[in-house]
Amino acid sequence: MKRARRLGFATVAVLRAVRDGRRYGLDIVSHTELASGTVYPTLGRLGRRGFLTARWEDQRVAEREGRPRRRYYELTLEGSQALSEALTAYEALAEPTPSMSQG
Amino acid sequence: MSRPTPQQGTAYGLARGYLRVVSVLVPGERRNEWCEDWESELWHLGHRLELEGVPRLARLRTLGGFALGALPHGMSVRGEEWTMEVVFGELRAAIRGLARSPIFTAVVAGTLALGVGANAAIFTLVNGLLLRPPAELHEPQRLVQIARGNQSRDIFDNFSHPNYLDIRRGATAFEDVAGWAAARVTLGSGPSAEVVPVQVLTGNYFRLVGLSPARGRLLAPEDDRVEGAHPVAVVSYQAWQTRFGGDESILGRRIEVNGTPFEVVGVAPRGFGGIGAIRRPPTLFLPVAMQPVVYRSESGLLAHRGYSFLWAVGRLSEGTTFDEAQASMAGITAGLREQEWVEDGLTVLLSPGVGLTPEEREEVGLYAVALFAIVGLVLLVTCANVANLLLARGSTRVGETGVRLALGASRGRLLRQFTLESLVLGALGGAVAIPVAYVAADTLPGLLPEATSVSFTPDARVLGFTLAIGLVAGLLFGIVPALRHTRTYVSDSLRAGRGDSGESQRLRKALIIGQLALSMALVSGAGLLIRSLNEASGADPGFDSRQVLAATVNLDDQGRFTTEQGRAFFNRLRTAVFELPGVEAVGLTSALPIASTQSRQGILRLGATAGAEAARIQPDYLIVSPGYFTSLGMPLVAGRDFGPEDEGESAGRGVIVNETLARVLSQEGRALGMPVFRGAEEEDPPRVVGIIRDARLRSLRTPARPAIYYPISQVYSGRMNLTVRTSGPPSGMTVRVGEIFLDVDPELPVFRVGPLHPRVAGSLSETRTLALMVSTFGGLALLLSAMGLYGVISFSVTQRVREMGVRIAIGAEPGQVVGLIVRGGLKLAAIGVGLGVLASFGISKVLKGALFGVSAGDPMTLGVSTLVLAVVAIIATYLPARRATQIDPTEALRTE
Repeated sequence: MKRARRLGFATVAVLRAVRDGRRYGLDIVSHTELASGTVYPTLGRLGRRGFLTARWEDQRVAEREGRPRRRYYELTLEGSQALSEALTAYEALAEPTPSMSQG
Repeated sequence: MSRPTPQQGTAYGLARGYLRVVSVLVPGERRNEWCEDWESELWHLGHRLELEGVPRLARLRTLGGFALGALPHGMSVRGEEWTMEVVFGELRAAIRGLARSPIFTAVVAGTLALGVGANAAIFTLVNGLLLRPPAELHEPQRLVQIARGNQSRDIFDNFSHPNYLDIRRGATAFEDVAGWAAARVTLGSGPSAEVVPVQVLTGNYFRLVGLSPARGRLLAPEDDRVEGAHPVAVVSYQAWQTRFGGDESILGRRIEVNGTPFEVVGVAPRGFGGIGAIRRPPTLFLPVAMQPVVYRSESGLLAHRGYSFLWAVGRLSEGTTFDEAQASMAGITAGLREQEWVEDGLTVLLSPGVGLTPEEREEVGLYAVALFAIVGLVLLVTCANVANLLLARGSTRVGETGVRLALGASRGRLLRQFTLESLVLGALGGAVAIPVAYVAADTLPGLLPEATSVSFTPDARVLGFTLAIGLVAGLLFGIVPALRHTRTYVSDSLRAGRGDSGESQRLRKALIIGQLALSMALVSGAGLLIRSLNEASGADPGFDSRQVLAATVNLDDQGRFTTEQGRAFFNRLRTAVFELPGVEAVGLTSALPIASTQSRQGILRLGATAGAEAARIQPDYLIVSPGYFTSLGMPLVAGRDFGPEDEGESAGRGVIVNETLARVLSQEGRALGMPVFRGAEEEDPPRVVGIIRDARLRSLRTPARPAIYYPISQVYSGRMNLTVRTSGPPSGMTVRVGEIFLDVDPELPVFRVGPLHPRVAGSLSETRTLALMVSTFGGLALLLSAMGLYGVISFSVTQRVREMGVRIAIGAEPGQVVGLIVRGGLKLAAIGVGLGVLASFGISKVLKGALFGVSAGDPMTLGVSTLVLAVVAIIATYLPARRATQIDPTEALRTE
C-alpha cells in the first residue's frame, strides 16, 4: 500500500478536468490553462499510477468524420477517490484556522 | 498512422515539423504512438483555430505554444525508461532469464569465480599485510615507526634503551614514544620446557597503542622502573587459549621464563600479536625492565648506549602532521650524533603506520604488483572466455533480438538489458568467489615464509573488492556481446532461424586470439618470474649447509657455568665430537647463518690510530671457535683461522672479518693486521688476523653485510651452536652426537639437534611459495584458454555442420575436413601466440622490479610457453574436429 502522497495542483486540476468530461489532451490543456508540457507528463504519470486510463478512439468513427483519431482519457475508480480526497484536503486548507488566542 | 486528413496551413506545418524533430527523443517502441497522439491533438487545435477564423500569426503562436510542450513530454517519456521501477523490472527479468538456463548460468558463474577468486586471494594477502592496521588499535593512523636509518631506507634500525629515552624526552611532536623488541625464551622447565617467542615492551607501550586487556591488566609504567625488579607477564590471547586452555584462573599464575618465576597479570586482547607484521605471534609480553632475564645477558645493558635492541613507535600529537614530526627529528638526530651513537649518514627516521617496516613494505609491494598483474591477466582471460560463451548464446538469440529491434525497441534499452544480464552474472561470479577469499585467509599464513602475526580474515574491504571485481568483469565481458547483438541487422536475423553471420564468427575468433595472447603473456611472465626466483635463490650463499649437523646449547640457562667452565665444556665437546668417525670438521658459533637471528655490534670505529677521523659501520657480530669456518665450507681469503695462537693469557687479540668489511677497512690501509676499535678510548684493540669469504647470514636473497668474528677463547657467550660437517648424511650422526653431549654433561638440555640444511632451505620457501602461486595462476590461465579455445572451435563446428556435410557429400575425405578445421584452429593459435610474445615483453617491463638475473626476452621461457600453448591448441582443435567428421552427411544437410 503506497503511502498516500498529496497530489499537486496541476495533478488535481487535470483529474478534475477529466472528471468534468474533458476527455482529450487538447481540451484538458485549454480547460486547466496549464501548458501542454505540464499536462501531458501529468497525464502519463496518472496513467502509470492507475488513476486514468488512456484509449484510442475508434478509427472508423474518426475517418467518417474526416479527422485523425484521438486519444481520450477516463478516470478510474482509484482516480476518482484520489481526486475526492485531494479536493477535501485542499478545501480544508482554504478554511480559516481557528485563532489561537481566544479571549 | 491514420489516413491522410485535410491539410492545414503553414503554421500547422511548422508545428508539425517541430513535433517530428522532437519525436527523435522518444524511445523507438513508443514513437509512433506518441507522434500520432500529438499530431492528432495539434490537428484538432489547428482545425478549431481555422474554424474560429484566427489570423495566421495568432494561429502560429497558439499552435507553437501547444507544440512546445512536446519537448518536455518527450524527455519525460524517455526518462520513464530510467526510473527505478523500470530498471528493477528489467533486473528481475534478467534474473529470471538466467534462471531459465541454469547450466549456462552455472558455467559462467563458475568460470568467472576462477578469475575473480584469484584476484580476491591476492587482495586478501595485500589487505592483511599492507592495508589493514594490526588489531584494533586506537587511531592507528597516528602511530609512526621511529628508527635509525638513511634516506633511502635500506637501513632501518633499532635503538638502545638510553637512546630511546632521549628520543622520548626530546620528541615534542609525539604524544609519547614506546619501545618493543622480539626475543625467544624458554618457558617452563624440565621435559615440558619449550622455546617460545615473546616481546618485551616499555611500560607505556599498551597505553600508547591504545589497547584494553581481555583479562586482568596490561603492562604499565609501574612495571618499568627498576631493572630486573618486575617479573610480571601478559599472555597473548591466542596463547591463553591454546597453551593455557583458556583457564579463567590464569591471573596470578606463576610461570617460569628462562628459569625465573614470573606472575601472569593479564591477557592481551584477542587478535593482538604486536605491531610488527612480520614476526612470530608472541606468547608473552614482558616488561623491558626484565631484559637481563629475557636476553640472558649481563645486567646493566639497559643503560648501555651501544646495546641496540629496541624498536621505537610513537603516537603523533593531535594536529601534528607526519612531515612536521619528521622535520623535528633533525634536532634529536643532532643530539644523538653528538653522543656518537648515531653514525654519519644516518638520521632518526620516521615511517608512517605500523606493521611492516619500509623494507618489508617495499618487498611486499613489489610482490603485490607482480601478483596483481598476473591475476589481472587471469581475469582478462576469464572475461574473454565468458564473452565467447555469451556470444555463442547470443547468436542463438539473434532471431529474438532482430524481431524486437524491428518492432521498434530502442537499441539503448536492449543494450541496457544485456548489460544488466552481464552485471548479474558478474555479481554471481563474485559471490561464488567469496569463499575463495576465506580459503586464502586460512592458507596464506602457512604459505608465507616469515611467520606473521597478521590476521587475514576477510573484512568489508575484501568482500567489497570481490563483488566489485565481479561487476567490473561483468562489464568487461558483457560489452562486446551486447554491442554485437544489438547491431544485428533485421533482415539477416529474420531470414535465418539461427544466424551465425560472418561478423559474429570473426568476433569470436578475435576473442580467442586475444585470449591466447593473454595466456601466452601470462604463462611466459610466470615462467620468467619462476626462473628469476630460482636465480636469486641459487646465488652462492657463501657457505655450504649440506652435510652439516647443528645443535644448540645454552649454558647460561643452567646457572652453573662460569666463563672458564663454559669454555672448558666447549673445548671438551669439540674434541669429543671431532673424534667420532664420519666427522670431517667441528665448530661452534653464536649464530647460525639464516637459521639464527643475527646480532649487530655496537658502533665500531675504525682507523689506523685511536684518534683518527672515524668511519663507523655496524657489522654483523659473531663468536666462533676454530674449525667453524671449515665445518661450513667458508673459505679463507687471506690470513688465518682462529687457533691455539688465540688462546691463553699471552695471546694477541685477533678478529676475523669478511670481505665486505675488509673492503671498508682497507680504505685506511691494509686490512690484515689493522686494529679494530669498538669504543672511543679503547686501548689494545684486537687486530684483523684473517679475511673470510662473504656469506649471506641474514637472508639468501640479500647480499652479505659486513661481518666480524671473535674467537670464543677471548669473547665468551654461553649460548652457542655446534656445527659438524659429516662425510655421510648428517641425520645419521644425530644419535652419536647426542651421546657425546650426554657423556660430557648429562644434565645439559640440547636443542634442535639435526641437519642444518632444511633450516636454511626453509628461507627459500618464500621463493617457492611465490613460484607456486605464480605457476598456479599461469596454469589456471592456460586451462581457461584451452577451455575457451575448445569451446569456440566446438561451437563453430556445430555452426558449420551443414557446410561440412555438403563437403563430405560431394566427395571430400573426412580427413580433409578435419584437416581444414584443425588448420583453421592452428592459424588462430599462431596469431595468438605471436601477439602473446609481444605482450609478454610488455609484461616483463612491469615485472622488471621483481626480476633478478633473467632478461625480459628470455628465450627458454618463451620457447617452453609457445610449445605448451601449441600443444594445447592442437588438442583443443582436434577433438571437436574429429567429432565433426563422425556426422552423417545426410543428417548434416537436413540440419537447419
